[in-house]
Amino acid sequence: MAHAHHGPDYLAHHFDTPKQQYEAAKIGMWIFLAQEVLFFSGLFVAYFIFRKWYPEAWSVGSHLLNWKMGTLNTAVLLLSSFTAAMAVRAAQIGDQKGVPDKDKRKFGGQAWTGHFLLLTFVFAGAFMVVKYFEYTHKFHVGTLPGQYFGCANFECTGTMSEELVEELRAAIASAHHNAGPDLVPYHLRSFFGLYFVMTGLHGIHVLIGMGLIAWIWNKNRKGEFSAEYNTPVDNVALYWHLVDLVWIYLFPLLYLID
Amino acid sequence: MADAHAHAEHGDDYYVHAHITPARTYVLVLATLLFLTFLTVLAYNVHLGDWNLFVAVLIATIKASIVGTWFMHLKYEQRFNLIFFLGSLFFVIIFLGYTVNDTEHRGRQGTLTGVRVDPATGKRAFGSGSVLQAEGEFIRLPPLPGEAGQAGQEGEADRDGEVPEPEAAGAAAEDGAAPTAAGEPAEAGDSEAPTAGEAAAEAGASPTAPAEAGEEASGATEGTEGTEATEGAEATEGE
Repeated sequence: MAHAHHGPDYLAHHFDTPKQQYEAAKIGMWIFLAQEVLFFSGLFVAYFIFRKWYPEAWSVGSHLLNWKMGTLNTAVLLLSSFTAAMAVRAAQIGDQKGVPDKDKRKFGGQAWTGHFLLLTFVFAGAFMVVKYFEYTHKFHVGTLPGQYFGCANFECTGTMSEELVEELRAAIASAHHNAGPDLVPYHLRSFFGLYFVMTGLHGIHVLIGMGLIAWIWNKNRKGEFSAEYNTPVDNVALYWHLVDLVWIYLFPLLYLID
Repeated sequence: MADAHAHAEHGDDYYVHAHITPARTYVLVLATLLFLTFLTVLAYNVHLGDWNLFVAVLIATIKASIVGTWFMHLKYEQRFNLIFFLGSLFFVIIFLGYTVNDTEHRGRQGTLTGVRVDPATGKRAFGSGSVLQAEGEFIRLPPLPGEAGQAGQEGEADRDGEVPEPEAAGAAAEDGAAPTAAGEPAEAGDSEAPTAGEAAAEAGASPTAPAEAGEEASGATEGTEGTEATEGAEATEGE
């Protein structure tokens, strides 16, 4: 289609129509998401193999995590996914006036897009705050990966802190797979290795997501989006939902195994 | 989408027509997801053995499908994009399925003998040379004199019989001689741990067993077993 004026401002010159541009962006996004799934899958496979090999370590390890914090973070992340979806919806509706189906148009428009994006950002931040408390506690008692297991604050003195011994005793007592009340599974170090890599990588995704949400929020504030053009909101939300998806699996697998 | 039939200059195929989901649907989806989270925590507090993992993964998969269908708009997405995403999940299933299946049935090296043991049955794994009861990382010592072990897993003994090997045949015969026949597999741990002498004898004997078995066993003794032992030593030193 050769238009004298190439079309709306948001239409890049190498696309014929906004629809073509939108569909190209979406294909790209889905390929990226598929890559993300494969990227995380290696760690999940490692998780299942190690779990099979070291059932005591996995059972006791999960009891060393705070399932209440895990549950709280799951709820927070689900809420953030909800607000992200609502932000996309608000952007899709846009600021059109006189749309017939008024009920379906509630919470639509630029202002609501901003509000929902801000809420998403706040929930993401809340997730990271909870994660921060979990991590610092683990540093403090020494539930750490590899050779640092048992070393409070990464300082290996040769003895476990009393706090850790207490935690280990409680965890072993409530774990369904255990070898005896005072037997600490050696491979807890592998469990915490995977715990930190998996939640850490997920946490990095959350931080990147927060950056993207802030970027989109600013674009929205400047009025770059409309009912016709809101692909960046859409795609950032898709990324955010994927981060949620990963956590949906991480939560029960790490925190809730008996 | 391909046929860009010319309406007016800005016809139907020009602009994006997004499907707008009612806010009520999203609220309902959120409520369902929170409920399922509650359910998975609830299921965690019920001891179901191996089924706990299955239930947890099942609920997670339901949650993931819900997020995908509504929040990610897969319900209204182009089929082509759906194929990309589901395709990646398909490959993850292959990746996970084959690897886990392999690790489940390959067997583990017994810590004392270096013989590969199938953790599921506690019996010698395929290609290995001996029968040794293992419970995950541990091999149970024989019961103290006077504590008669309950015999279990007699049915399993038949499976050993399939592998024509003197040791296996011997073990099967021993099992057959045990007093109580039909025991629960769960109780098997108490039953047929070989005596220390037997274990040692089997360890010694395994390298001479049929070709593949010998290879497995000798590889085991000098390979992983050695490193695990040194790691263990470091652990006791370090802490």
